[in-house]
Formats: sequence, C-alpha cells, structure tokens
Amino acid sequence: MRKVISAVIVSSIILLLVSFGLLYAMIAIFPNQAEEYFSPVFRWSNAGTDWMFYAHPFVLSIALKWFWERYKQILPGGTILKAVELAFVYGIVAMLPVLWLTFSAIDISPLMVLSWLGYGILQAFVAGLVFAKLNP
Amino acid sequence: MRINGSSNVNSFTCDVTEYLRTDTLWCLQDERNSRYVFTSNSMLRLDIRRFDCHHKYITADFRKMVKADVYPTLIIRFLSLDPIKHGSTVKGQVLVELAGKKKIMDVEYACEQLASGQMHLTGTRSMRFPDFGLEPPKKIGGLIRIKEDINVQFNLYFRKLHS
Repeated sequence: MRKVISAVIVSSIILLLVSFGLLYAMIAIFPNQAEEYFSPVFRWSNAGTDWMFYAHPFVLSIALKWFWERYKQILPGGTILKAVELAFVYGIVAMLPVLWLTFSAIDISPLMVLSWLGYGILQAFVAGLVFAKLNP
Repeated sequence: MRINGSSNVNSFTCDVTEYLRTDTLWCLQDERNSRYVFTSNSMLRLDIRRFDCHHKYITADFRKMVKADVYPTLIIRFLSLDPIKHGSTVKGQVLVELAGKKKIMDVEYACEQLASGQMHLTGTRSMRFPDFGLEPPKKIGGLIRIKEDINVQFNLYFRKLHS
C-alpha cells in the first residue's frame, strides 16, 4: 500500500510539472492557439475553481493507478512499452469519446481538442513510466 | 484612443474604431501661468462597446472586465493644459472615469500644427487596470492571463473657435 501511495504522489507531482511545461510550451510555440483560452467558454480564474485545475494531476494519477493495479499483469513488455500501452488505453478509451462529446457541445477549435488529446496521452505515458519504475 | 496591452501569450491593441461626434471644450487661460483651465463640461464620452481589440476573445474579455454592461461609457474630462506650441510637448491633466472609478492623471502631449488649422495632440500614458479597481482576466488557473499594465494613447484634434 505504501508503494502505491508513494507512486501516486510522485506521479501527481511530475504530472503537475508536466502540465505547466506543456502549457508554457504551447504559449511559446503556438501562441495563436493558446489565445483560444481567452474564449468565453473558459471560466475566468477564481479561487473557487482554480484549485481544481491544480488538483487534476492528482485525480488523474489516482485514476490511472487504480487502472494500473487492476490491469498491469496484462500490459506487455518493459517499462517504456507498458507506459505506451497505458497511454494509448487512456487516450482511446477515456479521452477520445469525452473529447468527441466536448467538441460537439462546446465552441472550441479542432486543434484545441487535438492538443488536449495529445496532452492526455503524454500525461498517461509519464504516469505509466513512474508506475512501471516505482511499483511494477 | 488606443490601448496597448499584453497577455503572457501575445500583445494586443484595443481602439475605438469610430468617433463621429465633435465636442466643444471650453477653457479659460490663467493669466499668471498661461495655463488653460477647462470648464466642468469639457469632456469626451467614449462608448466602451465600440472598443475593438482586433481579436474576438480579447475584445469580449476586455468589455467584460471594464463592466461595459453596467458602465458603458469611458469619460475623459479635461482639467488643464499647458500653453500649446507647435513641435513641443505640453503637460495636461485629465480625469478619467472608467468602470465607475475616477482618477486624475497627468498626460504629456506632443503638439503638431496641421495644415487644416487644427492642432493635433498625441498623448501617451501608462496605466494599470487595478488603478480603476479592475482585475484583468485570467484563465486556466491563472496560467493564461492579461497583464495589468497598459499604455493608453490619446489622439486629439483641436480647432480654436473663439478667443
């Protein structure tokens, strides 16, 4: 249990840093795309909901860890292959349908949706690496 | 009038695309220092909803930030102005009323006499949104944000009516 908790904590912290890094990378590389975050469909920052953004890596880590514990036996290969497998399972099973629905309901560009898909897959890959290393 | 601002993503410029009114400013010249002192009705009224930031998201956020629904007018009341001389800079005072808050500001203008007989005054002034109790928009946990500092540029065309 201790291993599980420490893996979740380490993964959460790394995912938080990764999310900052990816957002700032988007601002630097695709500023016009990043400007879409000023769209009225996105909430204005406030204390009531800001914490939810910063907590999302922890929620994601706990969810992925639950999946990892249940299905790690059937994930093939070594550390990297397991992480890739986890990333694609998460991307295809969890993210793709939800983003499909999000795009159908909210006025955001296809590029923004694709960036979220890539972001989610990369996050799951990083979490998979941490889990495979710390709690294989 | 033009407002130059920036976010941590890009810079932007909001301007009033048209101002069709002609305003008459009344002033008295102080004999002691030759300064013009304006009467209390010497003001410009700008419709906030006419400000265009040339970016649909920023424009919408700008109007929301300055509470355009509640305070649709930006009022610039002229208080005083140093004697105007072609090719020189003059100092003046204005009272800016935005989003229900008033603030007196010193503005430095560059003067240019136009062939039409008009005097063109270009003034620039740095301001901060919090000066007017406004909080610039932030998104995504504050990671995407409009910066507080702005640069406001006034372009005024004067024609003397009486002396």
